[in-house]
Amino acid sequence: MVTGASVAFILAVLVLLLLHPMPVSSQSNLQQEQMSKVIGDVLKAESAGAGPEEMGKLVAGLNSVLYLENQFENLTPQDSNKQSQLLSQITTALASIDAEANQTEINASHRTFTNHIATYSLGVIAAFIATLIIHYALLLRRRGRVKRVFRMKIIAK
Amino acid sequence: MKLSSRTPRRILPIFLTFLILFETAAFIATTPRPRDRFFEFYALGANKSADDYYPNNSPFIQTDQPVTWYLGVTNRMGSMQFIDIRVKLANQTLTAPNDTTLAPSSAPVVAEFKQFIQNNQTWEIPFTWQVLNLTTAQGHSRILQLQIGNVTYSLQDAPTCSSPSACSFRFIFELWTWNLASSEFQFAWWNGNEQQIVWLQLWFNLTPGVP
Repeated sequence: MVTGASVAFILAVLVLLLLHPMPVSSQSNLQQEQMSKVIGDVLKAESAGAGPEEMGKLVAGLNSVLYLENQFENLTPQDSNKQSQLLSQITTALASIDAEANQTEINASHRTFTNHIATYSLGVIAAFIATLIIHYALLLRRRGRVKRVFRMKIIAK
Repeated sequence: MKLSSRTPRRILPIFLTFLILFETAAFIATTPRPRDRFFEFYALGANKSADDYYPNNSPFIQTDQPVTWYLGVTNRMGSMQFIDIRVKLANQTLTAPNDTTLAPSSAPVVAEFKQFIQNNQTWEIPFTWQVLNLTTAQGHSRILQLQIGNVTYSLQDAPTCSSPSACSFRFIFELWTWNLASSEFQFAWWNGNEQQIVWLQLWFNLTPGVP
């Protein structure tokens, strides 16, 4: 009962928030926060090991958002329709870049982990092979020595 | 060849020695090394070379005379950077950025250019400008209107000179970077334990007539 009431309250607040026209400045602040979050997520993807190609796509997306923001700033207050259209375009673009950055981060960290495992496994394999080579080299040397001993002739002086 | 019962005891130290050696090599290969973090910031002339900064090779620019420079930034910070080039118009008396205190110039900002740059990538922008309106009142000259690219800027608090021929103006280009923690642009960035800044300036004199 209590859960149902709280869900209804949250829904009512959400509906009110959606219906209430938000001032452009507060929307810009929200976008600033969203932009900051997206930059953080892109940087996380890069530090997780995203390659230049993956980063290139994300950076191109962020620069397209800058282009839209530039267009938005050059609009006059009379172009309210164009303003809201650009705002929604910016929000959509940011959300799409954020999702892509998160996916890239997951892929990159998985790839980095696999690469690390492979590198350390190669170390073990290389150590094993090197040990075998040394071991058989020593065996051959010893066998050669034994053979030489058997071939020795006793010469009376 | 047969392995004797003593073999494992004999080869174990050899294996462990090699294992330590190869795993150390693997650790070095997979650990990123600390590098210097910096930006390359440059201004080139109209021919994209370090000359021909002024028409007719004279820093005396006439009003309405377009001047083209190329500004370039190369990101050597080791990660993607969000940068902001702040273009400031100053005279001889306004302070330039201070490399010791890391304070930006006190000159007013005329224009800003923002861009995201990938690591090891260069961003180059053409900077074509011309003074559209210069006024002289009470013995002081002031730039009222300036065009950069296709945008016209009306300057409210532009610096003044006692006379155009007696003092030089300069464009100061400051490189600001995005600080993720504070969510704003900062003038200085950290390179290890020290903070660094980068900026450029190009001087010019204004003449109302033919130089």
